[in-house]
Amino acid sequence: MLSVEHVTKKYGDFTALEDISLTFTPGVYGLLAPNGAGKTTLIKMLTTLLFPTSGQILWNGEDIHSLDENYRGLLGYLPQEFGYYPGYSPRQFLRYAAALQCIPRREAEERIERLLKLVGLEDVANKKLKKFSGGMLQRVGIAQAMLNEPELLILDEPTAGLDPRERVRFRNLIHSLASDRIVILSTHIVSDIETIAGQIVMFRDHRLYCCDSPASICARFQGKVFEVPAGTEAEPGQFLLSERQGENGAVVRLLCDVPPVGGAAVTPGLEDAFLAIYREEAE
Amino acid sequence: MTLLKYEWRKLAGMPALWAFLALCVAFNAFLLLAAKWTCREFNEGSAAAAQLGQRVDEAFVEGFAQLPWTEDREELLAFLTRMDNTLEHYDSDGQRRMYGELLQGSPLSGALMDWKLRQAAHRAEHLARTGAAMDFFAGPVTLEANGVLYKIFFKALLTEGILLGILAMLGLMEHERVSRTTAAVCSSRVGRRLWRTKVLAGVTAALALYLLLAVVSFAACFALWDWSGVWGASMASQFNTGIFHESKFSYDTYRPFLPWADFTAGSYLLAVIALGAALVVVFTLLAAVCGTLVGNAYASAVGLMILVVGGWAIWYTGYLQGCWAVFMPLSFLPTSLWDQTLGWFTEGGIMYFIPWQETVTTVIWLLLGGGGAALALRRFDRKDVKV
Repeated sequence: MLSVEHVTKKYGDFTALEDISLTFTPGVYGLLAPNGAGKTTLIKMLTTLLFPTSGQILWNGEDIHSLDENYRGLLGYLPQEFGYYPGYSPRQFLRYAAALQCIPRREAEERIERLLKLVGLEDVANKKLKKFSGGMLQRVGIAQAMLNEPELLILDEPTAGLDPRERVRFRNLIHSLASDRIVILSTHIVSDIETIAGQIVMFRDHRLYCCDSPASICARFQGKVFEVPAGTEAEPGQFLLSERQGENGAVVRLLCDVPPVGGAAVTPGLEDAFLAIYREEAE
Repeated sequence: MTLLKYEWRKLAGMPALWAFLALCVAFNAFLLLAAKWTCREFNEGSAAAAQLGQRVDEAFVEGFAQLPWTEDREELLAFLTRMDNTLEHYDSDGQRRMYGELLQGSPLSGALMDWKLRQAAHRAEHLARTGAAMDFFAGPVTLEANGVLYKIFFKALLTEGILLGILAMLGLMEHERVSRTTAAVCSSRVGRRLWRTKVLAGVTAALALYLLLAVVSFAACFALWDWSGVWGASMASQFNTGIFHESKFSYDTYRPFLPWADFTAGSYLLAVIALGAALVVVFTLLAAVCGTLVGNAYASAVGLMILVVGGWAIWYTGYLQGCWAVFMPLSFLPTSLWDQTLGWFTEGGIMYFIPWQETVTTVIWLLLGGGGAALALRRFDRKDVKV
């Protein structure tokens, strides 16, 4: 179990995160917040790259910085900006990653073969990484994050650069992995976590806003989201969420407490909830 | 060991390092060709010594007279005939008096210098007993040849080794930032400890590059200068006298080359190369400290250069201005040693204030560099990673 206890992170006078408390148990957690809300700061603290200004992060009751390599040894991490050595092939890069994880050579070779197959790179395993597309590189990154069979898998924007087919395959993979480990996903793509995350963590004003299931978050806006024909002016008390093509032409989705004239109540989705929660910041 | 190999591999993949190494080899070749004018005379002297032995005695003079005629041979023969053991006339008291007057503004400098010169007097007595000053070395060209070898050629080699070491170390420190792999590396099981491996890899690579450069450069040097007859010559040979130029203060132009051990030409060269290797390690460790603390190779290089060149400039200004209270402590800087490659392991005149100062200084800086690197790495372990 991973516990974040009253964690605050400050950079000089700027507070990136304030008094965050969270508990992670096996399952998929989605970090969902606009840019600059503190998602990456939290991830960097969970991966020991940053030290909390106050508070502590515990793994099974022990401070992760005290656990040191024992904690990092059970951690798999795909950074937002996945770096690589252009002159290496995926196999060479994964061998290097295995050395960094202190995985014995023979065991590493077996895992590398399995992971290359899993991410669909077995045919290009010996090709130089500098010749890879963004999506292929991201798959190498996912493989290196899973190399040590982590108990805690942290993925920062893991689907960036993946095509729809790869994205679906990735979601299925995460789903299958989450039964016996903690998976924390940070993404801007709501559809990525809407389908696989058991819990959504949201930050607002650098504080924890909620940690709840997607259904519960959406339920907060039940009866408050309506669709009206495009071109309808939003009145005071109505907040324009999004626009989409409906069966009878373009429609806009509005958030309001009182049903608008001619509006049809719709079931709010996670994207509606996201836009509703962060509407003030957007304004 | 696996991670060390990976770090070496990263270095091997740096084109700038190999380009600089190639430039160094080319520059050394140019230096050798520019100094080729000492070759003929040196090789003749070496050949004579190979045939007659190093010690100039009656048999040597007789044998020398039988050798084929060479330029200036008659003049040299006349000199050899009346050559005496110059170290028997070493004026220790005169030296102490002269430096005492010179350093009277800095009592500590004066006291250290006086102590060093007393030790030097014992060395002079010992060397006089061994007759080291009577060695022929390579004859009259010895002083110039050694000047070229140690003051120009070896100094260039040492400078190149230092720059290669700094380049290798900062290259390794910078590698993860440039590759954007810092986050993945630091969150792995090895984590920030990889930077310890980087320091080890940088130091070993610096040593290997320096030694490679030394082997290649000296192999070329010995292909031009025939050392077969001079390897066993004493460095205290009177033909190797007067190498310190302190004429600015109007004294001591012809001070003997007074080493702290009974160095032959061969053992002295090996000792100089070994101390050079240690100095390369010192500068590489200093680069590791800067690289770890600053976290940016270019800023680290600039910072290190400011420290190094600044220290040297103050030291040299202290020398020129006769400000011994400043000059003396700064003579324990590694840059001051770098500047004085010609006088290593010798009494060294005004440049050195204690016996074996170059060795002591190098050991001190190895400890400081090693300790500094350990502290910098410890700090790196406990601070946020900039990604």
